[in-house]
Amino acid sequence: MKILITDDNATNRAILTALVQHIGHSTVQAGDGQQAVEVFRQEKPDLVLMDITMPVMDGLEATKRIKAICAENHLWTPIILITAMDEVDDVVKGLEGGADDYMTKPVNSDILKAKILSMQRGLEWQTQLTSKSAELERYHYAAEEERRIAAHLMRGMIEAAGLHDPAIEVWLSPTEDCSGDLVAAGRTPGGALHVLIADGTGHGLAAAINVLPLPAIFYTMTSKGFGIGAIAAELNARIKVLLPTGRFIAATIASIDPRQMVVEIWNGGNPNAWLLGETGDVLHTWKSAHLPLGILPNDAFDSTTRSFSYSQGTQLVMMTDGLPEASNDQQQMYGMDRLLELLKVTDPAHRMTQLRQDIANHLGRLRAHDDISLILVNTLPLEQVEAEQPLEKKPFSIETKGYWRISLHLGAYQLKNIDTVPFTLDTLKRLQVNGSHLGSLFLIISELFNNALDHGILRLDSAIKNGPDGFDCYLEERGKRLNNLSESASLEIDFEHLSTSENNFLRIRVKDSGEGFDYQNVLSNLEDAHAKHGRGIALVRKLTENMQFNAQGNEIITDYPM
Amino acid sequence: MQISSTTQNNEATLALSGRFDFNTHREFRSAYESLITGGGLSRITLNMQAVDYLDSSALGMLLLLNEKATAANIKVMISSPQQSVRQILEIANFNKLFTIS
Repeated sequence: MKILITDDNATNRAILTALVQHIGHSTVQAGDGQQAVEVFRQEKPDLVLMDITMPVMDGLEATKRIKAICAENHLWTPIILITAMDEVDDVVKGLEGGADDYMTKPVNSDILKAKILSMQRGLEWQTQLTSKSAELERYHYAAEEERRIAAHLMRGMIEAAGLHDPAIEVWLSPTEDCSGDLVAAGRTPGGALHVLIADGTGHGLAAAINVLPLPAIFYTMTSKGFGIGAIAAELNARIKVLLPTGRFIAATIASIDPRQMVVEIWNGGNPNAWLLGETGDVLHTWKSAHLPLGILPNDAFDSTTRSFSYSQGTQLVMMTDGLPEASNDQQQMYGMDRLLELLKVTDPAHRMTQLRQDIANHLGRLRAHDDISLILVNTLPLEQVEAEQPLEKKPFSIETKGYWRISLHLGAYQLKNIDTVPFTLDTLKRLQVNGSHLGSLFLIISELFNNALDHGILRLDSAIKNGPDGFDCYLEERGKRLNNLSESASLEIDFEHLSTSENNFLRIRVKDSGEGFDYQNVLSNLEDAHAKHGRGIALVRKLTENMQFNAQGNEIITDYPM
Repeated sequence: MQISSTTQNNEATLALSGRFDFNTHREFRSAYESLITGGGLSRITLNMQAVDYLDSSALGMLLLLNEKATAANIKVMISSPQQSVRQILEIANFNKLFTIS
């Protein structure tokens, strides 16, 4: 070590120097406090021996200044005061001023040796600690940087236009930069709103990585018009492949269809979703009905959804478990009961604000231990949805040209296993049918296809749909009949692009193998605006021209102007 | 968390108590791994009577155990969870993977 010896007495300096060098250390010297500070700056010694009473600047002041330099440079350089027997008060002041130890004159060589050794051990500790803490700081910085990048990526993936839908209010409160919770929302070409709220195992970066694959699949499939059951199955398949055993994602996927006035939900592992009436009463509860995503293999996965038909202005509430489980300093959870009570007494427009306030009150100065996510969706009337996402044709840049025709013949196996409408729509897109038409075409094809399959082939009666749970009964019956579908069943869909000198149009023909039905009767009922059924055909007639049935009633041809 | 293990014939019981969460990972794994590698078992029962909390990483550990056990032809059962724990298992629909009694 390099040791600074400070004493105004040359003899004392010489004795101390000899002692220190004898122990095996090098020395530098100073004759007063001011010199000591100077030498300290220049020589950066490892340890200082400091006399107290000196001219120009005494040892107490020099100790303070040297310690100040140390503090600035994040150093620890021990200072040992060398004092006369009668300087007790000064020793106290010196130690208070930052000195680390003291010795009385005359200096005993064994004690000096022992004290230097003890300081040396302290210094070694210090060096190790500094390098460890520098390492820790580098590590911390790297981790922070990674987290920052991940958080940025996450925001980019979540920030999709769908979440700005006027029907939606979202609250996402992550415990760290990165959230293991994810929310996403988008509309199908037909105007149904799809909403996803997901919760990956754990929180922070690891959980955020778990949920990263979800948004791309969710948005793509929604924009193609796939149903939420099919979306859940696809999400599960991808997550199952990507995540190791023991990692999974609780998810609720909802479809709010303003045309059918039906809310359809798949809930795997999330808390209840509720549909609330105007006065806050619970119209319907969707409990978790499935295992979370990423656990079951494809063949065991259950994509069954549950539906509810609403008839008034309602609000859908979806959340992850961070909300009911938010605990205060007495380990009390916020709880579902308090949540429901608050929702009940608050009007729909203020529920989000009130709820956030109430949870903040509950938590007090604590932070929630898990990510909190909540989505409120207002079931907007169809007119408002259409105003936001009009089905009318817009001016377009690229348009499909020339004559083309595609014919699809679907046999029993295809009818059972293929999601026909998204598949057809995708084909039309590839034929450069302009994007602004796809919403209308989605609706037309859905209606015509479902009519032909459900009523033409499966002979299902729409009256089953009546009542709040009617939709589920209908779907269940549909599933049964589809399962027992006769091998001879078939369905044909044709698209023919035709041009006259004035206009272009797409001729759509749908024919099923069913017995057909009394279309005259159906058509005359279309004039009745309050009819519970036939709304689909009425919609098709509104969007197309020259709608015609064949005599048997199992074939329909209609022209969609482009 | 405390884990005690008893084996009778070809059925083992792991009695768990306290908080079953991420911090339990190593303990829980070593408890079931030694049972599975020991061989000769047809059933492992997790007695959860004294478990007062269970989080999502514990659910993950149950899935891991189930995978290892199934590969070794061992059935995993969960017995007597308290109401709060039972509720968490129900929300996750773990009754579709495990027999819960």
